[in-house]
Amino acid sequence: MTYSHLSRPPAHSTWLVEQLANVIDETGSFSSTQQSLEFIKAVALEGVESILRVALHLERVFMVEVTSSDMSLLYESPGTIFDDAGMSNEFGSGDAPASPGRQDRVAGTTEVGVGKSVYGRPDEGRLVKILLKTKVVLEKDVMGSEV
Amino acid sequence: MRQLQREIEDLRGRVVRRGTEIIRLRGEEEKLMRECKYRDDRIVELEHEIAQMRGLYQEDVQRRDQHTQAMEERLKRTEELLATRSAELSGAHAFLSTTDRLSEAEVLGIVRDLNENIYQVAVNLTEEWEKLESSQVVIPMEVDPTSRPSVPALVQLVHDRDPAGLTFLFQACLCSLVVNMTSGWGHYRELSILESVYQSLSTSGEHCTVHPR
Repeated sequence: MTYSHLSRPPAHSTWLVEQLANVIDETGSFSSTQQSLEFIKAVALEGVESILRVALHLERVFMVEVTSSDMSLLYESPGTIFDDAGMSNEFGSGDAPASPGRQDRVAGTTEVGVGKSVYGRPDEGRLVKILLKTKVVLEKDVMGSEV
Repeated sequence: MRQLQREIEDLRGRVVRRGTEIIRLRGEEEKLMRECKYRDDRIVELEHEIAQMRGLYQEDVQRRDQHTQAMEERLKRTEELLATRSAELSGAHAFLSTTDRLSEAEVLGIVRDLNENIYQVAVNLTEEWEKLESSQVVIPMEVDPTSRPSVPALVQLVHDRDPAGLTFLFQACLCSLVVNMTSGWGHYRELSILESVYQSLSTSGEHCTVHPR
């Protein structure tokens, strides 16, 4: 396995497993965080390390292998107003805009997107060109009329 | 007899004249001797001056040689530095080359692979969690009703034990992590994803879209 010069994967995977354990804790399925950790390690450690490998590869791609522009992953935080210019809806029929006067809020990002910084007109400076839209779940889709 | 006397007189006159001439010549000789001595002394003086000037000149030449040597060493160091910097610049130029080793399509392929991995881990976790739910006594969660409006939608789904919500929350966690990883290692260590989810909801109206770089 090859790692980036900046990385210490074991620490990253531990940290990631802890974050996932926090999510499991939210379900109240275990009486202690330790049990949640054991559950995550048993079920997902291999998958987590696989994700880390790909993420490290991407880091190297963005820092070293793609030099003609600045590329980066895109992520939308919960609560962000949905914007179909840079996001796609997990449950949406295409990228249909929200109804007039309504601003849909993002519940969570399910797939990261990719953006590329490019120079626009002189008065525009650097612009982020979306190469792959971030896929999100909207609050209206998961919470129905409550939202 | 007269003839002889005249000749004697004539010879005497000639002797006197020669004597006078000799005296004059001796004076002249003395004068020339003095001049020669003065010239000799002057020569010695000048030789001494020349020796002094030669010494000064040699010192000056030596100083100039030292200065030249110092300048040559400095030039040599500068040339070495230039060579080093040129090599570095050449390396930097190669690094800064605008030729990408991967195409956009290849990068997108890696990102799709990443998303697929994230989805797979999220689904596996959810499936195992569901099995757990059916086989294990679940400790009831107590959620303060007053806090519910501030709970993010996905977390709310998890509170409601909705598997889809759990999958989405796992995906959101993993997405957040990898974005922070690829945008700089310094930021994410102190970031708790759930904390940030809560914070983003509690600051109503404010939203922070992560745009690394």
